[in-house]
Amino acid sequence: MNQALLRVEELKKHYNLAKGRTLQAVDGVSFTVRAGETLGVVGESGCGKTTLGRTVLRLVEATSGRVYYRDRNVYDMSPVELREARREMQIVFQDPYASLNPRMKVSDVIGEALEAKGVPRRMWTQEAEAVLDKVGLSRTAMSRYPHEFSGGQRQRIGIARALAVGPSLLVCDEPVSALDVSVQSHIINLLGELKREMHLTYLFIAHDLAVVRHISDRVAVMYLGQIVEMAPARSLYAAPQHPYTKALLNAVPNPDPAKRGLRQIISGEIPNPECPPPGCRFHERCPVAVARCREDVPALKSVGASHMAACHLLEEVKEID
Amino acid sequence: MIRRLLSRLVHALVVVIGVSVIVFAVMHLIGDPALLMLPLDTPPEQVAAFRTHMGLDDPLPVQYWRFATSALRGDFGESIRHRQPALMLILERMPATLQLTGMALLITLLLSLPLGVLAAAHRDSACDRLASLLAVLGQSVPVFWLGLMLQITLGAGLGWFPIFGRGTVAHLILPSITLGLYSTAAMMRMLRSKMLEVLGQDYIRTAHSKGLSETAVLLRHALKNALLPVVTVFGLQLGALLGGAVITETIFAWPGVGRLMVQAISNRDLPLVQAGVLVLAMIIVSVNLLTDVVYVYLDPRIHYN
Amino acid sequence: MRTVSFIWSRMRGNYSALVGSLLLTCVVMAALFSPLLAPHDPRAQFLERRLRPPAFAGGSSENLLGTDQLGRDLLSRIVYGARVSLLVGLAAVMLAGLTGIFLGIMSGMFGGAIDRIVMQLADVQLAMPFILFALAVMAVLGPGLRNVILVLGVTGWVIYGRVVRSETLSLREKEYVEASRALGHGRFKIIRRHILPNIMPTAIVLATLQVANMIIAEASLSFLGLGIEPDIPSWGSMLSDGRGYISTAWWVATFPGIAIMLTVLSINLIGDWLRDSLDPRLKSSI
Repeated sequence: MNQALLRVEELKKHYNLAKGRTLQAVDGVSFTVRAGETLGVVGESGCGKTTLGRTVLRLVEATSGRVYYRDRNVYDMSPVELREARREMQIVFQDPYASLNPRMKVSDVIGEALEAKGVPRRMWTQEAEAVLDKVGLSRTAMSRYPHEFSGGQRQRIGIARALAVGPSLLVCDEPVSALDVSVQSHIINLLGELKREMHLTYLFIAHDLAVVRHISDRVAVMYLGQIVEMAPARSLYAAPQHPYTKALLNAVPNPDPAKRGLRQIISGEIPNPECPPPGCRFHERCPVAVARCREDVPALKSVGASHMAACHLLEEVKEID
Repeated sequence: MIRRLLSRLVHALVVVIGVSVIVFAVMHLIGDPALLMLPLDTPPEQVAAFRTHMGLDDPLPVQYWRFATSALRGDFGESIRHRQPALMLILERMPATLQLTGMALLITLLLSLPLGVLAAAHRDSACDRLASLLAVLGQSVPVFWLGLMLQITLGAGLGWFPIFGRGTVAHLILPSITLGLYSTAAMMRMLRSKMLEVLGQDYIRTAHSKGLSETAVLLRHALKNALLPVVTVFGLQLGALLGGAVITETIFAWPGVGRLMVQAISNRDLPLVQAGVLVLAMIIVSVNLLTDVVYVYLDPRIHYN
Repeated sequence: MRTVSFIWSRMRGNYSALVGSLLLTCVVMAALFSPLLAPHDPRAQFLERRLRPPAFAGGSSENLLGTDQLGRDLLSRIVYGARVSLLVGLAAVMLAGLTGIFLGIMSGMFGGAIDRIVMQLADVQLAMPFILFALAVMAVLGPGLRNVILVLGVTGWVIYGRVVRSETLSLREKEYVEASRALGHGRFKIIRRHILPNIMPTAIVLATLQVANMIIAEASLSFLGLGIEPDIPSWGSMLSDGRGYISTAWWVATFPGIAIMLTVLSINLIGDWLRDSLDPRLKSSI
């Protein structure tokens, strides 16, 4: 039985804005990720998925909640303990242009990671070349600057930096959404191979379901700071339960251009996250909303085998485990 | 809006208090005020008597508290040399300084506005190059040398204007040109770059397409918007202008606050120096506060912040 | 060598930068080799040759730019004066730059109380006319080369502090800084690795333009009699000497001023060029 590598409980991040307004970027999110598993997190931009990734690593301080990594709460750690823990929890950023210091050669970028790991300086070249090899870059890359590389290659450098400290958990924050479509699958395949080879665990954040389909074991769908549905990938794609998930799946672009016009697009705009609607946060855009949805907040409940969803219209199912 | 103004007001007060603390600290911590103010060969018992008389034996916080509370009542101490209240001496000289800086500001505006607008309107033309050459030259000329050169040529050489003192309008010409040219270069450069920024905006193109004349677009739309950021730096410019006035007044023997300050510094008249720096700082802080208010009033976007 | 030829190739297209560097080279040469270049001892007084006009205005070729009220050779004093100006300019900027960069980075990285205190201090200094404050401190400390450098250095940090703080604030939100934090690096390592190298171009541009301002400030202090020791030849104190003779001996006040103007001009031309090529964004703020 795989044990939980990461356990997130009731995580909240509220930003205080001017004039006493608050932005609830992450509002009570709980989930677990087992060792060796990939949990995909999907939602439209502004749903709080990026903030979720940052607060899990404590790069951004959460307002409340607990994040257990190997049963130790990240938010109870001292600064020294946190630095040590960070060697095991790494992040791959969305924008490969912003995530590399333009004034540092690739060897220095990787060196920064090796220094953090405590590798003696004489071993740096050897270790850096090894990790670059893993991500498919040649050793000639070492003496070059980020601007000499393409977006896909830069993202490989970013992945190499994260892997150089030997992490167990990798938070991938939309690692391909800034890349050309042709390069996206290369990077996703690379991440898949690396996961098998190095026994990694992923928290894989993306803004559409197509990207995480093949790499995820389970998928969580976020809407306005909350998880609305979470299920094993197979069951989520085959039998989505929540109306929002259904709409998102319909919005996945059809590869056949002739059929593209048929896809159903969710009506309406994402509400202003500063004042989320009462009741179910999705009710204003929901095609099947009833009166109750405007008043009661639906809780995340079991609706099938390991399948959770937060919707009043779904029957709760006792899990047979 | 009101909250914003209140917070600016509090900030301004803190700055004034900070200035008083720093000036006090410089006078009392770096040097020994008694030795600074008395002649070098004063016998020790007289120094001791002077200390007691001035309250210099008390602990520093006590001395500062006394200085600050009497300053609040408008009592900035008595000038050692003039044997008169420091504030009165400063206020007596203030009109001369205001006249000089006002006139200089007028000259700055008269020169930098047309030059800045022309340079921006005909970007990279001969006119623009000439203007930027003048600007960089202007920034490189020390005020006091400019003043001396004006004295040598227009004053002593041609005899057109008096060189020293205050009295007739003619007396005002050379000092105010000196001081005015001093900030013209910086002002012109700033205005040019803000104008270029504004001229690249969409609404200028819209104004053009509405068929407005070039001049109307430049003056009514571009200049109006470019002046706004320029207003905010006015407070900073004022500090430089008053600093320049210190030197200009000394060169032209202009009986203003600046010259009084230089004299007080060379006479080691500490109470007068303290009072002078504090009063000038208060003026600068108030003008900054005022430009803030004007800015809020002129720019509707800020109301919501 | 490669960087030299690179700078040269960039500069060739820009005449003002070229003129600026030629002028500055002359000034630096004058400062370095003053004993070789100066025709006379700058301190030697020849009372029988007081206030001689320059060679082209009826004087002798003995004193090319004429003499002052004590019969000292103006040209020699100007050549030696380059030493004081450059020394004070560079040393004061170094001191101001280091202080400002340190305070600016602390303020930007740590925020909170440190930030409030530093920025408040900057506002307090900006509320006092710079030259007046410098004069007041000089009056307490007494004149002297070291004190001038100290006063200009300590009062000149504000511009660096403000610019560096705002640069730091934007740099620390960059993803590569976040990546460094995620790797477990502390703030001081991040400052050294990411903040400082990215601030350097801005700091260099600022420092260059500030050298010019510091030279003018030193000359102003010396002009007002509260600068460096009176026996060291300095352009500011020479101007101050010339003040008494504006109607009888115009050259005493004219030539030192031209020296200041050309030096400051050359530095400003180079600084403008550096700004445009290293950090164009600064154009609106400086």
